[in-house]
Amino acid sequence: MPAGRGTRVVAVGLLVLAAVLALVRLPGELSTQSDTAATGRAMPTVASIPVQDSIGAAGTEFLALVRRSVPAHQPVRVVQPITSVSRLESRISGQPGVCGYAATGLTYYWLAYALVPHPMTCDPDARWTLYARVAPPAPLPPGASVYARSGTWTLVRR
Amino acid sequence: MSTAAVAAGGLLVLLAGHGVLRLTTGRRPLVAYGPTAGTGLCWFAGVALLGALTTLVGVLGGSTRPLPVLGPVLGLVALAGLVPFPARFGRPAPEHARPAPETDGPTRRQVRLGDTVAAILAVAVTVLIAVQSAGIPTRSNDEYAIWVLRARMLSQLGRLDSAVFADTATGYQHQEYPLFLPALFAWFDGWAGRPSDAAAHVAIAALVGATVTVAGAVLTRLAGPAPALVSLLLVLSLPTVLSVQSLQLMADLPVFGYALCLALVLALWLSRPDAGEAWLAAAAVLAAGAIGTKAEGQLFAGSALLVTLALAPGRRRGVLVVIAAAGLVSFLPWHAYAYVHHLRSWVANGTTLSAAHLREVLPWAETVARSMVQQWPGGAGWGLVLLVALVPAAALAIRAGHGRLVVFVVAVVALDVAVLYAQYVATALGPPSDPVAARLLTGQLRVTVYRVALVPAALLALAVPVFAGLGLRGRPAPAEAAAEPVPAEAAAEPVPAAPGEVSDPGPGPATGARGRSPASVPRTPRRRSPGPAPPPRPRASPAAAGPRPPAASC
Repeated sequence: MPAGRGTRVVAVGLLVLAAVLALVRLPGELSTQSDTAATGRAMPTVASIPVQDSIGAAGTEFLALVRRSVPAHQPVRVVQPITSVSRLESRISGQPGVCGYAATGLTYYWLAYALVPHPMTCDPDARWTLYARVAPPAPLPPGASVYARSGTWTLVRR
Repeated sequence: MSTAAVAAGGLLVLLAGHGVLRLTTGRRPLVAYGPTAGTGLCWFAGVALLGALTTLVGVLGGSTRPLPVLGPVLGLVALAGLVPFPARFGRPAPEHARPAPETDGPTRRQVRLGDTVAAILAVAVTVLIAVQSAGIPTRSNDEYAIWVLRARMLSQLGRLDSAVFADTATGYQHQEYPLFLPALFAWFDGWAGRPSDAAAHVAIAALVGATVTVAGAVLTRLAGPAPALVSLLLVLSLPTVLSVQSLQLMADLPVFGYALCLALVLALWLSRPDAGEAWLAAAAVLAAGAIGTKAEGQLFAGSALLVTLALAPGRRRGVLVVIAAAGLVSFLPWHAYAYVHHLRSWVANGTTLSAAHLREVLPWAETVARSMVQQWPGGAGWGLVLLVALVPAAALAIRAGHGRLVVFVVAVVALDVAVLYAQYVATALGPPSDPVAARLLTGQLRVTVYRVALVPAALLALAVPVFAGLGLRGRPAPAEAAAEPVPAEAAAEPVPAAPGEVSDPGPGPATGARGRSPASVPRTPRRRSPGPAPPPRPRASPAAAGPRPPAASC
């Protein structure tokens, strides 16, 4: 049964309304996409690691050095400045400042990504420890030595 | 060289997806679904197969690189899909013996038009996203904390390293998330010979393109080419879909693509009794993809399948098979791994679901509701206009005899929203009197609602043009309407050819006056018999089909 004239008018009106809504919104979306993409493409990188504002170029260069220097697939222990334990933390215990526990989470996640393919480890006897913006203990544990240092970034090898 | 290798890897995924659909339906996907939806579904199926296989191999301790397992298996599936089926091994569905049904759906010419427009739009969107995003490095939170990190570990370590994927002490984010998307990125890393963000961006672009092809083709078959085009434009214009999310290496857009297409395919299957089993196979692939891509995919797939189950009396067996297949392929291996390694969901666990916690966070209910409305994708301004327009559009669709479709859309959206809402309330970290919990919940809602609510938001948005399009077509002729319910016996056997079937040559006249609907011809209920395979279906021709009742044309 064909739709009546009134029904057709309402239906066409709704279709046109929906089309207008889409066509009004779409140019803005495309324009924002272009701007967002340009900003993303302009992000500087060091040895293919993007330079995050919070890390800086020098820090990123050090991360690239760590990634290069640590033998393939060997894990890295990351130590950061201690903060309060985040309410988002799902772990019920941990060593403060190590493995992102009681440390700035976003920075830890970025370090974990920048150091791929080296997995993170929380092992205190790990062969490689990265002190990120925090001074290594003095004196260093027996058998450990500073492998590289740049500003507040230190890589210690056992 | 790297580009050519990545292209070869992509082609292998596409052909493997073709093989999956060919093997599960016994029909060539480009014929069963039409070239547009067929291509998109092949990509969806290939990505789902790759993800499921990588997960299985990884869980069993094998290599997650293209060699020695993944590539050869995908190659075998691709080959199996390309070789002609010998007649005795082929699975000619009984519908091949029947003439293609003509229901009140769009004419073949309209279907071709809708498919062509969807294909053009899909190519344009894919190229646009690929070009815009290819030079963007991994830079935003969930990219580096979850999706790309996991992909790089799969491709660089070549295995499911327990330090990364199972050791909760190391503090990696969301270790319980499934692996389909990281597996896809890792696959392209393997073909590129190095970590490649550009290849991952192209993979995302292709998934968005596949979404456009499948959604466009299904909506065309459901409501006609014009409503389908308007729907696609509405979905693409949803805030942040193109402007932000299409440029990110995250799972929200892929899971949106899988889940939206699943809902639409099920809507088509539900509202068109002549929709064949091939669409159920597509639904299984899409459900598996949604479940294996992100936790929310379980919700979106589950809600669409449950509502379909409720609304398809007499045809439930097929839906149950879809649920079983999707669960077996995409849910079981990864969740077994997660269970063994105590990777608990951050949403539904002993803490969030405890009575004490729920009592504590229940006062957040109003705040969460208000915030969800505020952050709803496209909810402000014009979005409200669409919501208001939905009421008369739904009334038109119901008047035109599509009440079940309206109920489907409303029920799926309601279920999705209810569960998302409950999730936000349950995961609040303290009572409203706690300022830290308030700040965290506000932030959580601000940065996630616009991403995770895309599926219900898109369904609501496209419902307006789809319902209007159905209203425009009018009610099916009485004879057709009478023939619409499928008897239980018919549900137990393959139903006639899919409405998307475009293998038959001969487009109908432009008016759509093309053939008497077989649905208007009384049919004798057929039972499955062990007799010889039916002869090939005679190709329908406009002349043979005869004139079509005006009521069936748009």
